[in-house]
Amino acid sequence: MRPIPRIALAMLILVSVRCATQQKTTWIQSGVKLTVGDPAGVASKSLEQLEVGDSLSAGVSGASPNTPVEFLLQDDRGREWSYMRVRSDARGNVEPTLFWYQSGVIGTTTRQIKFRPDPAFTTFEEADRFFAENDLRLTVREENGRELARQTFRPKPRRTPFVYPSNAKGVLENAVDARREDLHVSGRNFPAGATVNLFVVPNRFRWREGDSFDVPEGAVRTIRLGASETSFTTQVWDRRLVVPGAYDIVARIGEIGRPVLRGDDIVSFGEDTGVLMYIIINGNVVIDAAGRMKDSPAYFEFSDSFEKGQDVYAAVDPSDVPAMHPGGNYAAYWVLADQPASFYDGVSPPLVDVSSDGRNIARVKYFCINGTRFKIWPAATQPAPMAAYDVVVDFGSVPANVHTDFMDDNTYNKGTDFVDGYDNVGFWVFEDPGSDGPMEVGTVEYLDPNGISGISDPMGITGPTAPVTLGWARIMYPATMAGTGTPVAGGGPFPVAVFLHGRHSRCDNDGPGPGTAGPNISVDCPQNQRIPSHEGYNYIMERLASHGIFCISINTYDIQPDLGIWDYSSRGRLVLKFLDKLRDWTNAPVDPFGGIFDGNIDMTRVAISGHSRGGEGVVSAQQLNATWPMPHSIIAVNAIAPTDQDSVSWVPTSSYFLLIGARDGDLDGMQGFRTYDRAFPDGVMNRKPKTIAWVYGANHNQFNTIWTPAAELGMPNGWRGAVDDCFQGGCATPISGAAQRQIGLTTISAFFRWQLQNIEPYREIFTGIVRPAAMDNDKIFWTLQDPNRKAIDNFEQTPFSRATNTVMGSNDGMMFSTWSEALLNFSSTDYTMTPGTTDSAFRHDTIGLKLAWASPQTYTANIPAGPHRDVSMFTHLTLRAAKKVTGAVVPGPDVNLLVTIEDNMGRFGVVASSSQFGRIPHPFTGSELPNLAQMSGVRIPLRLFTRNNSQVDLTNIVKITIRTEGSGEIGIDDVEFGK
Amino acid sequence: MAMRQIISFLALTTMMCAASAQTATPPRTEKTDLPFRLVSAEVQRFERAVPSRKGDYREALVLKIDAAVADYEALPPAKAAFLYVGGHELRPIDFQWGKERVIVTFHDPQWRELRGGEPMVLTTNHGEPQRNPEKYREAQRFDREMIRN
Repeated sequence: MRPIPRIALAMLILVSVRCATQQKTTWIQSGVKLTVGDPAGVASKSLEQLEVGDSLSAGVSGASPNTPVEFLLQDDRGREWSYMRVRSDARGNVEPTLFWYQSGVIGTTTRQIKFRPDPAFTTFEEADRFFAENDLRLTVREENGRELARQTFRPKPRRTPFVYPSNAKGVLENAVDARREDLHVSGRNFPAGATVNLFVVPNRFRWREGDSFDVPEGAVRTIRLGASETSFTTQVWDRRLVVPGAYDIVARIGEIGRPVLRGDDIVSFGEDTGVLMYIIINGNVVIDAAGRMKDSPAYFEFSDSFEKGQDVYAAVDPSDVPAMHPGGNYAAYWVLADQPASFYDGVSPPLVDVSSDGRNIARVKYFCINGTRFKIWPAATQPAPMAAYDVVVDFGSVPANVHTDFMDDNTYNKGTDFVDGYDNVGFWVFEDPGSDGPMEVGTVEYLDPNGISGISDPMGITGPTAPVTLGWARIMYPATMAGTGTPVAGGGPFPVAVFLHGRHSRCDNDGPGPGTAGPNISVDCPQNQRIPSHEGYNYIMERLASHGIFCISINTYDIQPDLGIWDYSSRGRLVLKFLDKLRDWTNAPVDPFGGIFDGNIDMTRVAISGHSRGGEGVVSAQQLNATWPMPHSIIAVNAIAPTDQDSVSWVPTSSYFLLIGARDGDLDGMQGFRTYDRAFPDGVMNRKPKTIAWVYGANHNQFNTIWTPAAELGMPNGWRGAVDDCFQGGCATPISGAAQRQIGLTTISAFFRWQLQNIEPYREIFTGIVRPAAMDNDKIFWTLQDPNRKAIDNFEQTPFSRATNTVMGSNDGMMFSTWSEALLNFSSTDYTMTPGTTDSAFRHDTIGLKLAWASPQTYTANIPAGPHRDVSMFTHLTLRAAKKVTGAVVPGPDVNLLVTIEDNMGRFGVVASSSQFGRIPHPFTGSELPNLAQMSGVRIPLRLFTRNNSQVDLTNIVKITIRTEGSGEIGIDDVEFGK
Repeated sequence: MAMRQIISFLALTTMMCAASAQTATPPRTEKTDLPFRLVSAEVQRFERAVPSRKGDYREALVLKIDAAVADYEALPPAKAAFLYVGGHELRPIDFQWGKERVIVTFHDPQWRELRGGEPMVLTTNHGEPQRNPEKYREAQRFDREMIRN
C-alpha cells in the first residue's frame, strides 16, 4: 500500500475539520431540505456565498403538509432580525420567500417615518462591523414546535462588486423624494481604475441574463474610477428629469454596450414597499387589512372579496399606525366572524378566530407594508355559501418587539388593537355566484299562440304589420321540490330575471336530428318544428332559480324573419308584455299553471338579459319601459354580444353589463361596444354602474346551448342552424363551449345577484380582482365604471382640443409621434360633432385619445386649481385603453402604462404598472376581422399612491402622468377618478 | 351474436355520421356584399316623424330593392345588411319575404345630397363602402332619374 502523501493528508484533515464545523452549525431534520440564499441579481447566491448587503430568502421541503412553518432569524444575543410564518402546501413544501432585506441595512430617508425597525443598521459599514463578530441563527420549525432545521451563518465581508441607491453621503436610501433630491448611486468593490456604467432601470422582481431594459431619460451615467479607487458615490439622475416609479440599478464594467442584461452586470436589489391610510372611529383604530398577493411591483392589494378556496392575506400599512401607538412590533392577526360596531365598543370583546389555522402572530410594524403581509387564512372556506368576516390586529397583553415576547390576551382592546370591519364587513368569502344554490327548482313552459297582443299594427304605424302573437317561454323558479309546476318555495316574492335570445334559424324544416335544411329564418313552420332558442339559457336560469330568482326565457319566433324598423323595439316590447303578464300572475291567481305564482314574484326588482339582437332588444325594453303604460322596475340589463344596428340608438339607463367574445364570427365588428360607450355619459342623471367582460376565444353563439354544435355541447343538437358564426378567422384559437358557458354562467349570475339580491361582494368580480376558479380568467378583460366617478378627461368637450381636458386643465403629449383626439369608430357614428380624425381600428363609437410612440414618452393631464383636485372621495384612478396593431395578425405583448398622480407639493408615491390593475392586451389573434382594438379597463387603487408614507394628498391632486414603454400605439378614453 | 355486433356497428356508424354532420361547419356565404336590383326610388312624406340616429325626419327617399332570399338566409343571422348609397348608410326599414325573393325597404332622409353616380352597395361589411369607396368602382350607380316624386 502506498503511503498517503503529506499534502493529501493535510487536505483530508482540513475537510474533516470543515465537515465537523458544518455539523456543529447546521442541523436539518431527516427528510427535510432547506433552501436559503439571496435570489436577487442575475445569479442567485447560496448561504455560503452570502455577503453583507445581500438579502435572504428561505424555503423548505419535507415539512408536515398544510402546516404553519416559522422562520426565525436571531443573533447571538437572541435579538430577532426577521421572522416569517408561512403555511406549507399539501406536499409539505414552502416556496423560497424573501424575508430579510439587505443584511438588515435599512439606510435613511428624508421622509418623516413613524417607525424604525430594531435591530437594524443604517449603513453597510455598521453591518460589516457587526458581522465581523456575530453570527446569525436561522431556525425553521413547525408551529407545534417540531424543529425542521437550524443553521448558523454569518454574512461575509463584502468582496464582490455591489451597487445601491444612496444619498450624497453614500448611505443607502431606497425612498427618494424625486422632486427635492437627486438620485445618487454608490458602489463598492469595483476594480480599481474601472469604467463603470450606471443605469437606473424600471424595477423587476426577477432579472435574467438577456433581459432588455429601458433607461429613462437622463438615468444613465458613466464614471471612471481612479487608479486606486474601488468605491464611489455619484449623482446619476437629476431631480428635474426623474420620473416617479420603482427602479433597479444596473452597473456594467467596461463598454456601455446594449441595454440588455449581461451575465457580469451587477444589479441592485429592487424591492418596492407600501403603506396605508388609517382612520380612527369612536376610539377604534380602523384600517384596511384583508387583501391578496400581487406580483411585483405592487406585491399586495387590499380586497374585501374572496372566492372559497382563495388565500386571504392581511397587512398593516405603516401609515396606519398611529403616532405613539402603545403596541409592539408583533401582533396576532385574528379572523373573526363579522361583528357589529357595538361589539368593538363593548367591554373587552373576546376574540374567536374562525379561520382554519387560528390566529397568526406576525410582524405588523415595519417600514414597508410588505414586511407585514401575512397569509391569515389559507384556502378560506366555510359551509355557508357566503359569509362575512372581520380582521383584528391584536397587540397582545404586552408590547412585543420580538416574536417570542408576544403574549395573547384574546380580547380586543380599543385604541390599541386595529380592526378591519368595525362598522362594515372586513371581507367576504363566497361561492361562485353561478354555483348550485340551496333551493329546489321548478319549471313550467308557457305556450299560447295568441298569448301576445298589442305589438303588431296592421297599418304599420305603431308597430310591425307582421303578427307578433306567439307567447312561448320557459320559466324556472324556486320551488318546494324539483319538477314541473311544483309549488313555489317559501321566502318569496322572488326577484325576476328575463332572458331574450337573438336572431337565429327559427325552423327545423327536416325535423329532429342534425341540420335545419332549407330556408329556416324567413319561412313559417309548425310549432313542433320551431327551434326553442329560448331554452339555450336554461343552464343559467336553473342556477339563478336555485338562489331564489324567478327566471323566464322568451322565444321570439314571430320576430325572427327581421321586422326592419320594428325589429328591435318589437323584441323590447315582447319583454315588457311578458313582464305585464308576470305582474298579473303575482297580483292574482291567474297564471295558467294553477295560480302558483300568485304573490310570489317581486316585480320591484327585475333584471333582463338579451343575446345578439336580443341584446339590443333588452336595451330597447328598458328604454321603452319609461313610456310604458305601467312601467316596470327594471334595475339591471345584461347584453350578450349585442347588435347595435336599429335605425335608432337604444341607450342603457339601468345598470349595464356587456358580455362579449372576441371570436364572434357573426357580429365581427363588435357592435356591442358602442352600446357601452354611450351608456351614462358625463352630465346624465342617475348614472348606474356599467361593466364589460371582453372574452378572448369566446364566439357569438356558444353562450346559448341551442346554438352550440354538438361537439362543443357534449350531446347531440339538431338545432344549431344552417349558418353559424364560426367562419374564417373567427374559428381560430377558441375556448371550449363549456368554458364559454361557464363564463356566461358565472358573470351573468354575479351581475344579476349583485343587482337583484344586493350582494355587493360580487361587484369585485367585475373589477377582475376576484378570479372565480371555475372561469378561465386569463381570457377575460374587464371594465367597470362606477356611477360615482369624475372624468378628468373623456375627450368629449368641444371645441375639440388635445391640449385641454374635461376639467379644463392642460394636457401635454408633445413628444408622442401621434397625440390627437379622434373618433374611435368602425362604421357610422351617433356623434353629430367629431374631431377631424377617425380611426376605424377601434370598433367603438366614442371620442378618445390616440397616442403613438417610438420610444418611451410621457403624457400629462393637469388638473386646474379648484374642486376637481379633491379626489379623496374616490378609491381608484381608472381609464380605458386598447392596443392598436396594424399589419399581419401575430401574437404580441400587452401594453403596460406607468401611471402616477401628483399632489400640489410634488408628492407622487409609487408608479403604478397598469398591467397589474387591468391588462391592455394585444389584439386577439383569432378574431374574424384582424387586429380588433377594443378597450379594456385599468383600475388603479389610490392607496397605491398614498402608501409608504408618501403623504400624497388626495385632496389636492394636480396631475396625472402616463408614461409609455418601448414603442406602440394605443387609444385611451375615460381617464377618471372613481370607485 | 354476430347480428347484434352488426347492429351495434351500424348504430355506432350512424351516430358517428350524425355527430360529424353536426360538427361540420354549416354552409355560410363568404360574401358580405349581396346582389340586388333597385325596384323603386320614391320620395315620400310621412304623417308621423320617423325617428333615426341622426334625428327625426318626415320626408325621405324610399328605396325598395329586390334580393334573393337564399342570399339573405346565408348571411350570419344577427348582422343586418345595410344599403350604402355613396356615403349614406341606410338601415333596413321593412322586409317583404317571398318564397325566393325578398323586397327590402330603405329610407334616405338626406337624399337631396345625392348628386347621382354614387355606388350602391348592399353589405354586412358595415362602413366599408364609406371607408374604401374605391373598392366599389364596379358597383351599380345611383341615378337621380330613378327617383319618382
